[in-house]
Amino acid sequence: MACKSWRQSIGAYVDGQAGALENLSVLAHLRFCRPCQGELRLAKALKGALRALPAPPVPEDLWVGLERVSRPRRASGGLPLPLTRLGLGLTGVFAAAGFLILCWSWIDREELSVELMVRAHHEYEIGRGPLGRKEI
Amino acid sequence: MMLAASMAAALAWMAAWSPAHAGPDIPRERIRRAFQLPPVPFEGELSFQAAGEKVSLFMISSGPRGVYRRDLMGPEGAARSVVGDGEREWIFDGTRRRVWIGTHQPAIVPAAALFQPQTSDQLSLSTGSPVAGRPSSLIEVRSREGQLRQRIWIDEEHGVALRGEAFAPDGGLGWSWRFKRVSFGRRRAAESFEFRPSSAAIVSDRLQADDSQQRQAVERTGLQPRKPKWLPSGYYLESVGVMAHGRKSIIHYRFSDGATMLSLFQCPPRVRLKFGPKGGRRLRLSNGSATLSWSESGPVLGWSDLGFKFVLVGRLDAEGLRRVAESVQ
Repeated sequence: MACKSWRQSIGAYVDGQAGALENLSVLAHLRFCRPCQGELRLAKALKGALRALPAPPVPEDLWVGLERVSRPRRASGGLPLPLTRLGLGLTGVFAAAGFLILCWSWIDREELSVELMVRAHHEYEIGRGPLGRKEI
Repeated sequence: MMLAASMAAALAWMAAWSPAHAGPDIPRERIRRAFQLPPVPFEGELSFQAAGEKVSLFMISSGPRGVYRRDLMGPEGAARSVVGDGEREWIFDGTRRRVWIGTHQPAIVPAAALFQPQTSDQLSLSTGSPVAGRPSSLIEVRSREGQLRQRIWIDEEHGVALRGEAFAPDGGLGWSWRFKRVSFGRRRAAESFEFRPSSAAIVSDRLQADDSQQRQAVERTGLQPRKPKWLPSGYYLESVGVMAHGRKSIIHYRFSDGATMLSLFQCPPRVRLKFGPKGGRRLRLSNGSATLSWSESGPVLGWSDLGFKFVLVGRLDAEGLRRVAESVQ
């Protein structure tokens, strides 16, 4: 086995992820292989250096994001998400249609001039005479 | 001892002048009573004139137990008589031999002269000039904004209204009336306050419309007629017509007491009322609110009920218009 192929096993050995048989094989190889001994020292030094680094700050919205990701695919006690979206969409469409109908019915309402009615009242009052003898 | 007496006197003086002990609103109470029939028999001659129109002359008398009679005088004597016999009101048109029956509404003046101030109106009392030779008090009624609405002269001795003026919002005189002659205490024959229609007379309810006119109005407008159930004293439904307005047709009910007219316009649904640039003020009705405006023919009231718009035009005070409007069914 060439040293190049041992490096992956040395990495697993340093990370503590190798099995017992793989650990024994690595240790047996390291006894006789100088380059791999150097590789082991390098891997251990790198791991120590990484541990010495300060921990990166936890993003504030991490939990929100995690909750969103981990939320169940159904709305609480309701319809599946696609159906909820469909319902919301339909509600919006109906609301818009209702608003348009309301606007249309208001615009469509004919404006009646009260002044014309007053004029009709006045003309009748004059035409009928003081005692209301006018017949229609 | 002296100190205690002084303090008691001061407290009594303060109590007498505090608002809580100020007593009733005297001008308002005097107006309310001024249009009621006096306890003594009364006779008078009243002239009524709307701005720019002819003078109408009424002979008015009242007797015991609230009976009354008002004759609208024509060129050949009484042309229209209103008799309240204590139970009913009879309206008689001698020239047409028509009789209308209404509810007994005792008042000393025709309906157009009646006035009741609004709650928000400001009233002031002063000494007025004599009317029909009788000393009087003058009550001026102004709106909250200080606009003069009415002037009423009230008889000092018997407290009845002797003269009145109604003003438009622009300050112009809307209509006026006054007793030219009055006498108190002279008893009139009881027959004057009784009415028996002759067999030839056509007797009908004063709210009943001519059948053919009403049928025609229904056919042309497609509207179910809605008329008032209450009318001021002396008024009856004179005719029903149809007024075309653009694509819409409006029913026009015309009521009259011989001297003045009252019009009710019943509009179709899906319309808006346009009151013109001056607009109007809000008036509360039992079934909603209305807009009260003013025109050359007197006050105009517009309101909506069950989707239908109504307009009422006539020389009545706001209270009279409100009562007619609320009775429309």
